Amino acid sequence: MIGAGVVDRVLHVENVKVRFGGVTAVNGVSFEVEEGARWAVIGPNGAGKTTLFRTICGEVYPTDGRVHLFGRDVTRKPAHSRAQMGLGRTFQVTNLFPNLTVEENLAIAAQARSKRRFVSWAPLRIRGELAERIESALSRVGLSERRLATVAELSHGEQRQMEIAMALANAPRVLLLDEPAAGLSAAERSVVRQLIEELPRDLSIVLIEHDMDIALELVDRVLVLDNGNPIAEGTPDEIRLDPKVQDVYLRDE
Amino acid sequence: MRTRWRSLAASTALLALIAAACGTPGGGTTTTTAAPTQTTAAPGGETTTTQAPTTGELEPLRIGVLQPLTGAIAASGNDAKDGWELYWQNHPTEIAGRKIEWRVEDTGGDPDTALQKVDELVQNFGAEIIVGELLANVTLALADRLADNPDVLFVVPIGSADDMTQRRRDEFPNMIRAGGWTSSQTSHVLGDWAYEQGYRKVATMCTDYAFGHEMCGGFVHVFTYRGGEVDPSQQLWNPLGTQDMSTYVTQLADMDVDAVFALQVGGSVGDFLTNWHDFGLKDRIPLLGGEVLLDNSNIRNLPPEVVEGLISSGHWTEGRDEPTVTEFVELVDAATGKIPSYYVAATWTAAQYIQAALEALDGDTSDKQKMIEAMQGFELETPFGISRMDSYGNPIYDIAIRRVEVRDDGRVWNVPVEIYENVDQFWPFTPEEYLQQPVYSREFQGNLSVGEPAAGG
Amino acid sequence: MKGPTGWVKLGLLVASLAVGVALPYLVDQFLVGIVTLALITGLFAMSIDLLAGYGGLVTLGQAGISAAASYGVAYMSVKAGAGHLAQVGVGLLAGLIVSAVFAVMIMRSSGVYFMMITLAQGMIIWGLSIRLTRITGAENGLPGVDRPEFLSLYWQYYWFVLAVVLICSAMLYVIVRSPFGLALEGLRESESRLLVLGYNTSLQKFYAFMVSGFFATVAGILLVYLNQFISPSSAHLTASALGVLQTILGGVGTLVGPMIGSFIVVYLRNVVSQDFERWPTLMGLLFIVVVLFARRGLVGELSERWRAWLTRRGLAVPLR
Ligand SMILES: Nc1ncnc2c1ncn2[C@@H]1O[C@H](COP(=O)(O)OP(=O)(O)O)[C@@H](O)[C@H]1O
Ligand SMILES: [Mg+2]
Repeated sequence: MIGAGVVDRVLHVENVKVRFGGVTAVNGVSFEVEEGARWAVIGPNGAGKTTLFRTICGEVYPTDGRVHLFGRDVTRKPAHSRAQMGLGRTFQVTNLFPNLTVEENLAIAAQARSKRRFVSWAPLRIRGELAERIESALSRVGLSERRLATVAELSHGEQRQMEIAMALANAPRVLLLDEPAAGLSAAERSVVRQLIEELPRDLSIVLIEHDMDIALELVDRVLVLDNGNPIAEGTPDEIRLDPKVQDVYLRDE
Repeated sequence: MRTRWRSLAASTALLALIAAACGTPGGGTTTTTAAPTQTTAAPGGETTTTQAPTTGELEPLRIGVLQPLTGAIAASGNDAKDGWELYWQNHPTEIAGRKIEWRVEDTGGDPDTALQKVDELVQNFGAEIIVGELLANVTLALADRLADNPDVLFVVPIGSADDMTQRRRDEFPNMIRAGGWTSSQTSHVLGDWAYEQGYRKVATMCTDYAFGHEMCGGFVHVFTYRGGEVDPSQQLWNPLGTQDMSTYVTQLADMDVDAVFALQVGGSVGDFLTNWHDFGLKDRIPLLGGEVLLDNSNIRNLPPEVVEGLISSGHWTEGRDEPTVTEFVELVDAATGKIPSYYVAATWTAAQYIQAALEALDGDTSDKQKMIEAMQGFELETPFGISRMDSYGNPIYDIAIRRVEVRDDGRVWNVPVEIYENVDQFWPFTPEEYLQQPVYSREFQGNLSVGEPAAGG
Repeated sequence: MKGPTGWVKLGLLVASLAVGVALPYLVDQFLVGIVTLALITGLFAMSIDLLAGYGGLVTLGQAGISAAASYGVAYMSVKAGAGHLAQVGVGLLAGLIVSAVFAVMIMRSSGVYFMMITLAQGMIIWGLSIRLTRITGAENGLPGVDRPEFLSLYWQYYWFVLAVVLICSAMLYVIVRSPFGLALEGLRESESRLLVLGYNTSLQKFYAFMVSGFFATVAGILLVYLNQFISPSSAHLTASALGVLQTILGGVGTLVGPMIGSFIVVYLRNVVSQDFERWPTLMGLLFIVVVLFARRGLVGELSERWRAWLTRRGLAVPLR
């Protein structure tokens, strides 16, 4: 970073509340993500983690509070505008284009932020930067051999990796990963873990992980939610020692 | 992904190929507008020469019949088909040396399909006469299509759009309503009769489309011409295909009127009449039916107590005690097990006219205008009684006020109560005064009690 | 060309084009007329396929759009007595304006809601065509829409329709293979994923609806000049549903399938019906058989079988 002390803040969540009817899913959460930082949001099931992501992405508008992206207030901006600004996300429940091939899935993701996505008068050709991005996403997640298979034909593990590949092909600056290892075996989990570790360092990441041990190894800062409420924030070491966090996780066991 | 490009390029090349190919046979077409020499090269050159030879073995007379045999009004369409086929089962199919061949085709009640089928009948089957259709709009579409073809005679026994033989008569030089009628023709008579009964204020309940407008207008026009009153706010219109008529019936029950004129079609008929009976209005307010409302095709499907005693007017009266009618009714009943509807009588009569014309012209059908002239000269004994034609090609009949009665065998039919003789489509006006008014529509009902400009006023 | 599949496709294309071009020399006027009709309703069904098969947006009001175009032409021809250029211009305008209005109404809906809205839209046009008597002639419709001199003969018009339908098919072929077409398939597969990737899916639906509406408009213009007549039944739900039926019969999302479905339906309705009165029953049975045993439609199922056959012989190449 140039200029001592001035670190770019890419994402700023300010006192966000989300209510669904009578249920308060997120209750006054704030945090700030600096460029290149790696955050984890942890907490038991139903803590409001996914809802927080949905709010950041614009799939749900908050009942109260503000969301800033790259210094701009995007609280009322639709999801696609935020994506155009460089926000990407993966889904806890796999959300791909099942009847399209791996390559086509990635092509949709790769062209999403270029003007080419409007082109309807010429056949699709993947060349140049888009092609490179697809290739690098494929090789990162190790699906190069499967490029012509439809996503529906992939195994669950491969589909989870596609979730990440899709986000990478989209070339975001901030990436929200919602339980990328959900439903995977121990062996598969370690593959995903390595994959996340090897993501480019200039990419800012917020990771939701149900499993505290995995999460804490991958990030520099952690936010803990319980029942919609933020109960702790700090470095992984601080969180490990935090009695409130231990309470929540012990109670949950 | 690159292969996509290649297949695209291949198909584009092909497209160019076709473009080039197109230039060869139709070459004359694209460069010069209409060189007469090109017709020899043009496809379809031979197919147009399907004229009958004038000497030697005579060509059969081919007739195309178009009726809705499927869809919402299939029952009526099949009645029409029965009438046509029964006629030829009971009459010689060779007349003046010409064999009669026909093909019946289904329009589904859809004008586009009818137009496609009529092309097929004329071009492929070689039909010289087209008989059809049932719905006014389909009939009009056919009339318009056939108007350009002087080699085809269009016989219209059912479709009754008024203007075809009135203001727009000249547009359809090769059309004649043998066995047919105009929608308002029978209603005119009912308007007069209603006034004679002492009714002075009448409400109407008609289906909101051209046929309903015309039938209703015929009644309103003559009834108010005689001095009766129709309050436009008491003219109810329901959309075509209304299933539930009860809301309309309750509205009618609250009106302070001497009688109600009603015209419904299809599924609305049963619902209307059943509600009318169930609400107790049948014994309280006289109901005057437009012809189709109480046609045998409708009343035969309803409980006798719902329809017994109801009044309507019609050119077709199945319970008329005259030999031509009773013989016809018995013949159809024996063949189909049903007392004939007017659809059966109409196509039967159309066939009768065609036979008579063929005999009169000694089998020479080459000039369709001669056929029309011949038909206009006949005085035929038909199931409708004596049928004559006015100079517009529309029949003049004795039209009856009819009452539904239960026969000894438990079935219902219409019997005449009073007969108006020699009623043409303009009755009781002269053609000249009548044709000055516009065709009946929802806006124009010929209502003289509210000062609408109309004929005879 | 990509493996055996490409050659088979090319062969079929060349063969059907050769027959198509030579048709007026091979069969009589009636059959040429039938094929003309099938080509036009095929284009109409393809416009439905673009939305339903690719975008996953099943429309039940497409006939409203083509009928609007037909009415535009017919009004200018019959009531205004304008020249053919003005007729086609007004037809295009009518179809595109109706498409645009409808597109704005549907751009935020999907699934069953999309179906219900389009159904209502179609019925609105139908209702208007009955109500606006002065413009549309109500039930009686507008007869007497004459073709220009150089297209007045049936075979001239056939070639014209063939050319227009081919050009439109080529355009559709490119569109579904374009970046936009691919994203449209994404819409069918998962709208929520598209949104977080940065696609404005409302805009995408608007555009897709307009493109589809354009081809429906062209079909409407071609049809009114073929029938030389238009009436409310052309706008009715039955007409829209028939287009969807043709699409399902031939194969949703295949483009060529709807065209083949259209040939089957036209053949049943206009040829088989001559000898077999219960043709609607036949069509119903065929539809049931297809839905039960060839869920992808005729073309979809054939190409799937073909792919499986190739795979067994180790000749498989991916379809796309
Ligand atoms: N669309 C919704 N409507 C109503 N309640 C919801 C909705 N989405 C989530 N919730 C509720 O909000 C709470 C938080 O859910 P979620 O954010 O999915 O938790 P997590 O991802 O931490 O497991 C849960 O109680 C859930 O039932
Ligand atoms: Mg969650």
